[in-house]
Amino acid sequence: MTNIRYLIYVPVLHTQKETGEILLSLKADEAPPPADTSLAEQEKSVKEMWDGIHEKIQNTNISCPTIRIYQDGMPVCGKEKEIAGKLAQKSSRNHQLILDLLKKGANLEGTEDPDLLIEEYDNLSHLISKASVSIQSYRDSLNEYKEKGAKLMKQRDAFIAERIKSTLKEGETPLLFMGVRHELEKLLQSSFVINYIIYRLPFKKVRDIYNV
Amino acid sequence: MAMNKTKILVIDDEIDLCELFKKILGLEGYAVLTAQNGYDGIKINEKSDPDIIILDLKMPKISGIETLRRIRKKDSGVIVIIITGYGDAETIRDAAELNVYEYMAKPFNNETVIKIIKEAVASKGKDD
Amino acid sequence: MQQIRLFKENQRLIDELQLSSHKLEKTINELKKAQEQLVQAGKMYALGQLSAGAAHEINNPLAGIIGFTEAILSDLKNQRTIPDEIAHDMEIVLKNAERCKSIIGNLLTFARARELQRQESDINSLIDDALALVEYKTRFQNIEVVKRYGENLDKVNIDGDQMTHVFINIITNAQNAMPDGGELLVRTWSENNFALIEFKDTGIGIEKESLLKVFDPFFTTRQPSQGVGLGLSISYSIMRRHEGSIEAKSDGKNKGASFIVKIPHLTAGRPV
Repeated sequence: MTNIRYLIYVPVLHTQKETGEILLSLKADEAPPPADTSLAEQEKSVKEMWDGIHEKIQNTNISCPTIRIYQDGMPVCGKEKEIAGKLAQKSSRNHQLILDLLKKGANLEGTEDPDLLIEEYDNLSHLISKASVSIQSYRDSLNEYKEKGAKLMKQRDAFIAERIKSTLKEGETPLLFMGVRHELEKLLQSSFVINYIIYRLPFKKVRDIYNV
Repeated sequence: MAMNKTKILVIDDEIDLCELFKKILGLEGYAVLTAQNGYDGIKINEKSDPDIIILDLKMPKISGIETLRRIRKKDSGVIVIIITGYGDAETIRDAAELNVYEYMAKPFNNETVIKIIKEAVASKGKDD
Repeated sequence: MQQIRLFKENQRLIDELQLSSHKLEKTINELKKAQEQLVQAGKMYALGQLSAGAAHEINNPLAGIIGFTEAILSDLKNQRTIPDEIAHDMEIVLKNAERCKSIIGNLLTFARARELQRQESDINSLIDDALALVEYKTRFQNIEVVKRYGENLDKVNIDGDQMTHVFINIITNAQNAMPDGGELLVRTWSENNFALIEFKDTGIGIEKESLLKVFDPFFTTRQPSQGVGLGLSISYSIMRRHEGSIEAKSDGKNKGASFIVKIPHLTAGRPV
């Protein structure tokens, strides 16, 4: 059998604050998203999720220098480490873990098409602006957002899959941190044996925007 | 004084794990019912109206996701916690669409499960 | 003049033919490559499925081990020391540890797929050896073994150990299908340069939807504690490597099942 390539896939949830900040990292001049009253609860659950993920990654005993990290929302821009650093400072456990792995020799790769991310940001902003009008108005716009989002997600996933295949070096293992709505595995499972790392995904705590 | 115990239904084809949940959740004061497949789970859910369902995904006869789909058709309110030895991106997406409270991997720490159950019970109180 | 024209025409036709032949060769090579890629992609996907299946199988008994060990420790810590209960919990831990051991053992067998060590063998003797190895279980479960061996069967060129492994898998499957007893008929005969062996039981049978999946890795209709579902897929793999085959038949629930193994005969020292 020819070379078998493994891939580590970590499905993740982001707090609403994290999602906002990840997308905002592309738009330096925008104001931060409004604070959510249940933020503390969200953050606690997501922190636990990341602690569990961290432990499981350590248990894989994969040598860090052979890991190439691909991150949901990380644009291809040449400033990936900087962005990770900034988001880690803003308490993103996701990016704190990335920095940790980078310190141990892992590599971080720009993952997403910046234009597609900006389009996602615009769609999300539009949806959130409806929420400031009324919950009903938000709910009405949700279907439109979902449709646009699904189409955009396909484009994002196609870009990410190609990005992984073209940037991964010989002997390296890709480590993916991807929000749960991505459908990347469909594009990768014929090239890689996918191993999932799942500890817990606190859906209700994080209040997935689809379930308002 | 009759206490209204929180009812938890465990749907898992692993008998030992059903017994484990009965033990650790029983000690916390919860009433635990078990089913070894999706069909029985659906019946017990309709009959006993549990507050929380702990659901495995890979089971004989019908899958956990299909079981959940059928439960959700008639019961959008019950809190569902998926605990599976076989998690992947597709079942996570399916679970998200079906409004699960939490999605966990086996093996797990008893303490973590108990904590999540307690939080789920508390949240149910808030929503009611 | 006509001859020159004819010659030129022939030359042109030959050139065209050569061109078509090159194009065809190129197309064939591209098709081959595409097919290889598909096969490889299929393998990757299958490997992914196998690896996922393996993870699942290990995770369940692991959950049992970790869960009950934690429960025991918690009981001891909280001075809830009920000896019978603790002994019971420890037995569950041990049982699940054995399951893990068996899963890993099976996986290694599957993964290793060692080189066949072929030698001339007599099918009937091999079957007898396999039956002898699991005889205690057959006797214990009230299963009557009926043998109808073909006489003077040609020899086959096979890896005796691996073929015995196949027979044991099938016989064990039949035993598990007849928990309250029954009959296992073993028949051997020759047909079209193949040695055929049929193992027919009177057990719980295989439902139509399951018949298609019966050789898939980790497919099992049994309770998790009774086995992991690798035996038949390992057997399938061994039969393929022998250029033979294995087939399952059943008329449905409680109507028994039949497994037919085909092995190419030895002819002039080489398998046909």
